[in-house]
Amino acid sequence: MTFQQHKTTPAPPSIETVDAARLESSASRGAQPASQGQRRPLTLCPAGCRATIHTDELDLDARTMLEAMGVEHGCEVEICKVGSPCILRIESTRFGVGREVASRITATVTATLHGSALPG
Amino acid sequence: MPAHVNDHVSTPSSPPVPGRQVALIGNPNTGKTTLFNRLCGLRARTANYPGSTAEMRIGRCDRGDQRLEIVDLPGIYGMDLDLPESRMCRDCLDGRLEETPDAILVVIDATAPARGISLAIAAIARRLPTVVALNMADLAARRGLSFDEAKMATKLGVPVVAISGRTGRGMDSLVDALHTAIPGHAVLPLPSATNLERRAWIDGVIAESMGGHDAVGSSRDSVFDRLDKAFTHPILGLAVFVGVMGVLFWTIFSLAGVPMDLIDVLFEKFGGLAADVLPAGSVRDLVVDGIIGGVAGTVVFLPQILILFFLLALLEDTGYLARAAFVMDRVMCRFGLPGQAFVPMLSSHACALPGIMSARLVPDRDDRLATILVAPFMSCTARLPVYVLLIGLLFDGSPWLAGFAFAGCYLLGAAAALISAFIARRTILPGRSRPMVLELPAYRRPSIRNAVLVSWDRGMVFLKNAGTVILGIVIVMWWLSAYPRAETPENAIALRSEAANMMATAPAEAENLEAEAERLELNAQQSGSFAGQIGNFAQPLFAPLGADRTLTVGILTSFLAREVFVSSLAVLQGGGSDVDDDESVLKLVRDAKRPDGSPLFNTATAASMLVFFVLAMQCLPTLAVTRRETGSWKWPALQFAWMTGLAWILSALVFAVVTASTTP
Repeated sequence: MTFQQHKTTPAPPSIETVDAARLESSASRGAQPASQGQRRPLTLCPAGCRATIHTDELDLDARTMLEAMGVEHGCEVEICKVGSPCILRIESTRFGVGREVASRITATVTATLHGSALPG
Repeated sequence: MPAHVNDHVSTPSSPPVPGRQVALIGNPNTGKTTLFNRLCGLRARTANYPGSTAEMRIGRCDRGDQRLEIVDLPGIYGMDLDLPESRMCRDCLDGRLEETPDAILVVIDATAPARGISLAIAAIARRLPTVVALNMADLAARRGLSFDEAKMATKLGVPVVAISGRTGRGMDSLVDALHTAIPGHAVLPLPSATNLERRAWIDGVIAESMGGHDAVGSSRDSVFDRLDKAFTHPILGLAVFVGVMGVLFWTIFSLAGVPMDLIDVLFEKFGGLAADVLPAGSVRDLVVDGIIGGVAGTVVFLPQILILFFLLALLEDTGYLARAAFVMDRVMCRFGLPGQAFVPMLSSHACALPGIMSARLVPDRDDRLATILVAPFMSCTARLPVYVLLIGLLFDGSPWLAGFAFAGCYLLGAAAALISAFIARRTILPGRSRPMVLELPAYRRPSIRNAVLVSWDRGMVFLKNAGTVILGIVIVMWWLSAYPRAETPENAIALRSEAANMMATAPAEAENLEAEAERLELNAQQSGSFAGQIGNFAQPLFAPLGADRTLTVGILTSFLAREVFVSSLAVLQGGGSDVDDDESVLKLVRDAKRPDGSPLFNTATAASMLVFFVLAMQCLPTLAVTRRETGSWKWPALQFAWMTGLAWILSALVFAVVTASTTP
């Protein structure tokens, strides 16, 4: 097998990083401002965004199970679908998360699809 | 980073050791079963873990004079989780179940290796000879990933082999590595390392040994996203699910009919042959009616089981079932059952035996037990002849009402199942279900070979059960209904001699007399047999349901199999055993009278019997399969008591209400 230098997974071009300027701009367009680092329930995140997820509000069993599956506290995910289930992608692996568990997972959005404003 | 201090790394090479026992472990969806089937093929059997009800597959992999015995352990996400499958893996690797295995084979998904490496670290820490298989290497290459096996082997301190269980690539190298593996020597994260430390170490291994990147955001992901959205959509997803299940069960019914008929004919011929060869007497009756007849009644379901598991394996392989579980979870979770429970419950509409066996799709033990307990409430095909008879009695000449009643029977069974599950999850099986988080495997083309091997394995398990526990039960039931032998009643003898005299002049009347004589004989046998005596004894128990002695005997014999009820009634009313036309049976039963001259069935009796047959547990093979799948007689006993008790209460209620409303 040919060895190539490892490259980190690049964010797809359609996703833009949330930055202060955009947040200001989105606020000026009338959208509710969303500050970087603001935690919100996974179920309220927009589909297509990238986010850091926080599992510290889950009970120990669920958290341990998620960690073993690779959905760790603090890891970055792409939120493919919001609803029941929420579908997350970590690297190339997809996970379906039932509504009950998803409502107890919080996320900090780091990049939104096409740089669109975050919902309030 | 804290780590084991080992000062060298080796890729082991020691002389081949024949007959090694290898424990196969890996995360779910890493192609572990496909690899097992590739290595062992048909040289595999299913056995229970010592002292446990969980099953394991043990297979043999022979290459030349070298032999490996491979034990396929359940898929796990972590060795230290407080879950039955993780405990089982720990116990097996630590030698608490049997002997410690000679080596461990860890299967890792080459397209997403991080979790697999985490599991490999836990396995290598056991200090057993270990080999890591990077499975789906062909898929990884297609996705633009590349890896350096030697570098990964150096970091992990054990051999790493790139393979494809699906195509067979790398199998020879893997088998060689398993024969020569020795315990790993490498600097690995300590068990006490934090998640972040372990993750950083794993990321380092991946960075050094893997190249390229999985093209996230590619057109493939876009297609997967759209499929996921469609398959898990509340309405579209449900429509797709109904369609897929419709096709699944239509295929089962269409394809299983012919082999089922063939099995029927085969056993009939076999029984006829045995009857010709053996001298008349108890031994012949035992062989023909007890053993051959009893086994035929169970083995006839084998085609349904084979086709069901073949199709389920194909569906699982495509990646669709994981999505479907979420669609049904919205409904099932209200009753304390997970989405995966839907397939076993739906399968039970064909027959509870494959339904209960497919409950292994449910990952959580308590959820699985609840599913198994309530699955036989679903109306199976064996109930249909009884529904046809009793609904025919109730709504003769009103096809619309009969149709609604038919649908009502199915709904009543389903409602009883869901409500029973709700009660069970809050009483005898308390506690929360496993969190509904599932890995959604990539969509892919299913492997026919794998599906054939899975359905073959399930079929063999079923046949083994049919040939042991079920056969034993059937023989006991046959003996109870056949002994002690009753003397032929005098009036039957008289009728027979009259029939013989009339045969030449009035053959039709002679046949009627023969049928009447047969009815009298059977009636005498039923009354005199142990089952009949139990029926007499139990009649007061069924009196609140409107059953007299004849109906009580019919109910008791139908505990062997429900459909026996119709043929028993037909025979007892003088139809002879060859009456199988619905209309003829219906007429016979409608005209049947009790000893006091009142009809055998009035509206109240027919309604109460219908409710009883919808809800009661009257299938001994189902109880035997429940025992096998749960590993204890406690669960089938509970299943029997709950279903039959509920059936009795509701039937008695229906009888009382209908009697009160129809009595002037």
